[in-house]
Amino acid sequence: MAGVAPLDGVQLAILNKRLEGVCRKMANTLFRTGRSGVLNTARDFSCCIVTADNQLLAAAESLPIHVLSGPDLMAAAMQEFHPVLKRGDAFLHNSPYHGCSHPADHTILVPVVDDQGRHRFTMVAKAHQADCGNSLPTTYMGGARDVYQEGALIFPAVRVQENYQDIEDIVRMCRMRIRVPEQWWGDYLAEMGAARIGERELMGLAAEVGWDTLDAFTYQWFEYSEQRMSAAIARLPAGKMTVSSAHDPFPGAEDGIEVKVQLTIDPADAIIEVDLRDNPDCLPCGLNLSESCSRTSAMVGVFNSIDHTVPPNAGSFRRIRVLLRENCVVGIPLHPTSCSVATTNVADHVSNGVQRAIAELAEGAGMAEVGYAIPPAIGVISGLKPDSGEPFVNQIFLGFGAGAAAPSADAWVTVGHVGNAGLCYQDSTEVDEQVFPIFVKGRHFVTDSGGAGRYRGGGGMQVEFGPEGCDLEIGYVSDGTVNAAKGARGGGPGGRAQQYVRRRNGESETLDPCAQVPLRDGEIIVSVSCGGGGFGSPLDRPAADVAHDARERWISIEAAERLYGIVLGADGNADITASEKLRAKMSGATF
Amino acid sequence: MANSKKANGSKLDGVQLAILNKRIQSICAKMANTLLRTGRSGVLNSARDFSCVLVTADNQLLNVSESLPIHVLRGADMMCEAMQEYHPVLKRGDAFLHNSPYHGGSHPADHTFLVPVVDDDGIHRFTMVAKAHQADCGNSVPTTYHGSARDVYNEGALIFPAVRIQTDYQDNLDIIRMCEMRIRVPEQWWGDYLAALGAARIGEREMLNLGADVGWDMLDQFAGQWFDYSEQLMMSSIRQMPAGKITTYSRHDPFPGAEEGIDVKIELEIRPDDAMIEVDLRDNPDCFPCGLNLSQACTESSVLIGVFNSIQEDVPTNAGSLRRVKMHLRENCVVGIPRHPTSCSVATTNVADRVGNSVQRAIAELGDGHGMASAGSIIPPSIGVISGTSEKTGGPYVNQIFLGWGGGAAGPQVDAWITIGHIGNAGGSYQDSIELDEMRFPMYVAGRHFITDSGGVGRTRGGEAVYCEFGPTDGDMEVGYVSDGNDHAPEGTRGGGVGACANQFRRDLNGDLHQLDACAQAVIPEGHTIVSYSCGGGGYGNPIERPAENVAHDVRERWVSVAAAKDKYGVVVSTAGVIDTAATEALRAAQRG
Repeated sequence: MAGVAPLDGVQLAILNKRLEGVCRKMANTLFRTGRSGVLNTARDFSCCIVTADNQLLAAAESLPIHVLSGPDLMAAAMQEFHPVLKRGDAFLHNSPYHGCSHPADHTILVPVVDDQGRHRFTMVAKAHQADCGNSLPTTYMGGARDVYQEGALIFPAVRVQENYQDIEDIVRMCRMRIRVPEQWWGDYLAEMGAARIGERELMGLAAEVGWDTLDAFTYQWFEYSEQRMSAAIARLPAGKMTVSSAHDPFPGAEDGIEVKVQLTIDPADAIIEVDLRDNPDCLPCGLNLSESCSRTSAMVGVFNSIDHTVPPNAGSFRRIRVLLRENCVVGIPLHPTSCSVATTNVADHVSNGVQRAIAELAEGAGMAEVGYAIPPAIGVISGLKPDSGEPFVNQIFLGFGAGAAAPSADAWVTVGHVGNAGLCYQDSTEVDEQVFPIFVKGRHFVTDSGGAGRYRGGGGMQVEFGPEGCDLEIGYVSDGTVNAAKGARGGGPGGRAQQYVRRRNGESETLDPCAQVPLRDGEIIVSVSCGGGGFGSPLDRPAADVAHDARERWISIEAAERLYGIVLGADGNADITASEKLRAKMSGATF
Repeated sequence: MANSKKANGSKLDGVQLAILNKRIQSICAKMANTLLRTGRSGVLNSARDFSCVLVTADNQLLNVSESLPIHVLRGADMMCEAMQEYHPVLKRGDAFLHNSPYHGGSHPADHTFLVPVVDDDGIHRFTMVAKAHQADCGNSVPTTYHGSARDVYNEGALIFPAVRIQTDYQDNLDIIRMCEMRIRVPEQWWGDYLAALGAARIGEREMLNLGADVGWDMLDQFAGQWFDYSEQLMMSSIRQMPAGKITTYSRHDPFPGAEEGIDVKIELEIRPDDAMIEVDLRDNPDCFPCGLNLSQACTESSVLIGVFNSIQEDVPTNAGSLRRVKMHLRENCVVGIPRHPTSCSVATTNVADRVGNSVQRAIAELGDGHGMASAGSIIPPSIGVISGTSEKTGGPYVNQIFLGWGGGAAGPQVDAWITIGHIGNAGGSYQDSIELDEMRFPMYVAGRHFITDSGGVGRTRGGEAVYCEFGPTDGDMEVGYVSDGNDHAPEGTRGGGVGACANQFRRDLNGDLHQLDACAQAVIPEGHTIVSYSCGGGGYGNPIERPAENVAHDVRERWVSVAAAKDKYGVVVSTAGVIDTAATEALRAAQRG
């Protein structure tokens, strides 16, 4: 490789940290300059570095569903469509048919070109938009029968800067078709700025250590990561497991979507194979996965299940084989199939299926299922501000689904959903109320909504909110209303999602799980998110932990007894004798 | 009179003017011929729903001879202006795609190609404009007329505000790929793109040749003089019109987003002394949350259509004659200047027709022998956009069909032009052949005929409505349409009667009819049919002044029934068309009384 001496471990570690530092600078830029709340509050974006031959190198602080596979495919599309890359170029990409996750994830690709004009790396900044021009004011068009009905502008690696100057035609097209164009423009500048910061930093690093050293690093780092991955897989038991996980019935998928994951662990060859081909064809709705999300969601499940110190990059990815088929709902969609909701709903069933399959195969590995998304509390709100009459549109993040229990820890309650792995922040009630004409009447965890288990699933959240001084619309795609997040190895399921509206006369009405709901001033929408699945038999959970759960009101006294077999005394501590008797009687029961 | 533009060369004589005018017309004819013969979709190669125009470097409309009036009377000029604003440096080999109703486009379905003609010294001399209605433009539902779109986002079309699509005669493939991702049946769109761009390039080539032949200065001289000449003809035409001020009203039917209907009020003044016509549209409702709002181009064009339909037909339509029409518009008005993101998806037809019709009706009301009645309103299902998936078409299909428009309006001297289409296209579009449509699409046309008594009665008769029934032969078919005139019939004028109202049904397998909404994206299952009644046109003048022999002829031809001949025209006539003269005279005398 490249005529430089092999780097030693210290050099490798330093360069890795410096590249991660570059990604952090990009992320920091985006977070601090993004104009919409989805970026500057919820942090729904990712920054990463891809090699010139389109391999993912560094993705510090990224949402897994955004980047594990996708930046590589997008960079490849950029090179295919634009064989000559010049310094100063930048590309806008959001096409799920050319490597992007879903059209709401506007991605800026900046090729880093050395002084000789050679393309060395590609900086990638991907940011979920407050709006992407869909035919309804939501970035999740669950009911879209095709990409036309979805309505988003699709950019298949479109050149948006040349010589560091915007191509104004593209900017004007966006301004014509993306709601609240000034907000979009701010987010565009933030993303472009992040990618340009990354470009500058990487050029600075190369000026310091040389491009050849960076190439040598890349090669060795991929080798190292692959070895780490091989070692992690070699520790797992061999086996094959097929699990299924069902998305709820939605418009266009009236029977629900049963996702079947066929997983093989081959420790001898150090390969994990995920076969998703035996699944339904694409459906006339927005739930189909893009290729990027199909691959990534399988990989998310794998990475959640193994030694977390394995670096996720193209090196470790070599040990994961994902088998996909064209025109499959969890495969490679054919245009004009809509992939509007590709990053969350069905993708979560793939990831959850994979990590649950691994849990069932390997003691001490895998995880239960994380709670499903997107409940109204994570919906996209829109309307006209009562004071100025100005339009607003933005995704709020007031209460996600809860995390899954793991083989050795209770769930990360605020993980968000399996695809973003806790990277997104949840909104502050006060900040949201300040920024938008809404009133948040309440927000709290729901007792008993985490899956019971030796390790407990996270509790779902109930959020009540509504417009203040105006009407608004809220779009959401709430999975898990019918099919709860499942537990693993005897753990129980999480609580189900629910959504209803409280009218001004006090009457409640249940809402559809996939809807664009108009709310009148004074009405309140109630959003209950999914709990996460539990891990292991709840009868194995230490009595003191159960008592603590009850004191903290994660679980009720009744559930402590019924599910965990723990009888609590008046002082809140476990009645050991009664509990042992009860657990003895219950053991053998299944969950 | 407004001063002409730069006139460097010596003054051209009448013969030179006439020759240059014809040569420029023939350039536009070559463009149109190119588009008609190479367009891939039926909307272009069968129905001819396109326009080819020449605009000067200072963005004045010079020639529209091969055009639909609603496409170009205003708009081509405004689009060229947007092109120059956004792209101050124009180079030979550039081409621009434009469809933004916020920058001079009529409506987003009219993809327009602007090619600046740049001379050897790099000076921008003219702009060739080819505007072609698309089979699909990426709307959120498969129709190019999204009547219920609450805003441009809900509408869904890609909006191109004078976007550079070629540099150095090479496509910007980024834009092409974006279109391929978001326009249905992308191969069809690509064919139409090549046709429209090819037409503009043919025009460019011919114009460069003409410039080389006669010199650019002479062409500038011609443009200036031709505008002045046209203005003079316009002035003399207006001087022959009756002086006066009048207000007319019309109402578009209730549609989603405009549940009360849309009242259109035209305040028109003819000042023969000044040779000016002034039209005020400001006292009209604000924009609606639906697709019926007019773009500025369509607002102005629809007024001009009403005016030009009412003056001598030998007045050339160009920036010169347009100087004699003054319009007052207001921002955020349904017939004014829409603010983004107001949807203008249906801007070329429905409400625009109400404006154009009301203008010509206002002129008629000011003096007998002038103006016209109202032409039939549209767009009935027989002019709808059909879509589906079929083996016959090798996959998805989407296209507008043209099987039966509204009837024309009666004029002061002559009966209506029956197949005019609608007032905005002035007969420029062709109607489809049943056999060709059946050959191209998985459809069966069960019937098509004119409807007796559907034309407005009058001294001159309004055009008849068309009955058309068709349905899919392979799988379900969607038909998108926006049929105005279900409730508010096209008006007659000066005592003429109204045209028949539109209507539409679905006929099921048992033959039972089910009422369909006037603005809908109807799903017609295989074996069912959609039944479409278009509007008749309004009549002009009192029907009892219609010569009895003409009425007898109408009866023989079955335009008019024996009963209507008697009741409406006061003509007693047999089915065979034999007039009972005595009875007729008596009846007409009684009716006059």
